[in-house]
Amino acid sequence: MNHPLLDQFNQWLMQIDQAESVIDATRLNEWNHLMDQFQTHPEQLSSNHAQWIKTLAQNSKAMMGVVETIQDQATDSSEQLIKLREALHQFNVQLLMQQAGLPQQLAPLMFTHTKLSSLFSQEQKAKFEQFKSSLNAPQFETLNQLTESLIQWQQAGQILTEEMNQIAELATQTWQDQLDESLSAKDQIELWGKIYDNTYQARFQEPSMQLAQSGWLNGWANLKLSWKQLLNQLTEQAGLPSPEQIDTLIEQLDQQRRRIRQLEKRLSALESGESRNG
Amino acid sequence: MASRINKTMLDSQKELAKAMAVLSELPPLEDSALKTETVLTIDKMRLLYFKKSGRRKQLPLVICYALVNRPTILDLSSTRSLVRELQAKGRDIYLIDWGYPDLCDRHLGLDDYIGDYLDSVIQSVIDRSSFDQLDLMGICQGGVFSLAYASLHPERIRKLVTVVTPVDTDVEGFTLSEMVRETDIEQLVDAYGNLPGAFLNQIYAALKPLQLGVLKEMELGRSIKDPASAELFLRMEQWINDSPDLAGRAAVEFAETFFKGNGLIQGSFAVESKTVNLTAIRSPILNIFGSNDHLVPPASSQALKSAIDPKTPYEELALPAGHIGAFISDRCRSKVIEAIDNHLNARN
Repeated sequence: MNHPLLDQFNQWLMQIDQAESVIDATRLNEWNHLMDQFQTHPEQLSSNHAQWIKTLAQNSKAMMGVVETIQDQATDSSEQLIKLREALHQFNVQLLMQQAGLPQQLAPLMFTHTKLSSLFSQEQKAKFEQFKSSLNAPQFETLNQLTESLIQWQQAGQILTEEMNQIAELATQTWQDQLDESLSAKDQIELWGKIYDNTYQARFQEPSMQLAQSGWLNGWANLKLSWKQLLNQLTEQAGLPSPEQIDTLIEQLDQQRRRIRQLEKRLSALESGESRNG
Repeated sequence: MASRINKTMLDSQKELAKAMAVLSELPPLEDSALKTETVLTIDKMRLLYFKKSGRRKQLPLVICYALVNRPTILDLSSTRSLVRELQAKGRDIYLIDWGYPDLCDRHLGLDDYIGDYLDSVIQSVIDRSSFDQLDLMGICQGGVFSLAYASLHPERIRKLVTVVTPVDTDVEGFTLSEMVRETDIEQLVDAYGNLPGAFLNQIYAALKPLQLGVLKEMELGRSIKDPASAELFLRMEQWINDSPDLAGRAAVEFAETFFKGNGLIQGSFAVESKTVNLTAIRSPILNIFGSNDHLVPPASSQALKSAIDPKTPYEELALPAGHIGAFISDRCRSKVIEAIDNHLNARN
């Protein structure tokens, strides 16, 4: 089948390969343009697997950025390292953002970079506290509780991030010690991944890490519960079925299901006995 | 730019072009997994039947999969199906599909899953066969359920196979267990109702955040080399992302009694108020695990050996693979089938 975009890409590769030319700024622009096209019109290449075409192009751009970072001979090794961590971190966060489900909320589990320690500053906390104290009236109690839960969750995130930073620091040190300059860029990245994950797993045996991670998850659950309470209040005020009422209904349905199930079991025991005897 | 970047870049771009070419020609994936007869349905659970082809009289084998993730992994494609390869050995296979719990199922607990559903499955299969016993195989969490059932009903289970099954949750390096230890699962369940599949997937990915996250994504091009590797990769991805929610009560009970309480080892795991005592198991056991399993460390599975009665025949099969590769990968699957077949055919 004819795929003009893929043909252009192959042609680009052939030109680079045959001429053994350096990938200069013009070539890089052409390549970037091609990757953008793949991302914007993936269905031109495959209507069945368009999402994967898009992901491949997107990842390739990110990968190129990382490779460039650590291959850049102009910077010294510590600078390269900072850039590498930053690039990997950005890619990681970007990945999380794209995933379905709860990417933002779970992001701290995967943070790999120290920059996020400024995620929730004292200044921000003070603003939240100020907001909270302005809601004195009793009708704002649940909203107040939600704000408090948010503050606690953000603080738990801070503690988890500090643990993650320690992992990143230790992993970086190990990586530097083990790094072999002759390794290819991909192998260097792979080595970093392996070292990071081993360090991370080892850290989980420490109570401080277990507490930090659980504290953050518990804080998140608490925040969700506070939100649910606020929702209860608002829906009840609006005369709509509240989440709490729905929970009660589900419980009643479950009790009915159990009664029916008991009867089914008795019936099937009788049938089973009959067929064995008969 | 230096020449080394050209080489690295060109290599990865060639892989990318190849992967895109393969995807452009690849037809949509056919949904062929678990297309077979359903012989029992209770609520959302289905019991799937894979009828044997020969006339050899052999006990049926019931496979109990985990509540998290789908059993479609056991019938991934026509050329990679553990369940059909076991069926080809001449025995009837029954596979439990727990289904997709929704909010109405949030009160389902371990009593329901083990004491009711699994028990009804075993009874139903016995009723359908001319035997008083059957063979039981449990995978991962399904292995925990199978061990519990075999200890409570030793007379019904002739032989037992556990695959990548956690037993001792206090072993070193059990990151998932360490993650759960201080987490208030009850509060999470109060907040969510059921634990969402997407949430659980993120937790699994967080066990090896870089290798299962960023690095895997960067290496996508390498995973799609030809139509066969592309199909396998896409099917695996489809399976990974097809995660049912975990029923709220079952999640709390499993976390509290099994993980935090190390219930199978401490004797605090109970079903319908009956304590699960692994020394009560009489069925000869084959315990299969992956030496590189990051989800269930080998030491956790191997703890089974010292937890059962020393008189109960016990054998192990360690495979050079991870959690899923241990029973799905080409290099391990034939060994697994052969070991299971030998175990079930052996006269103990």
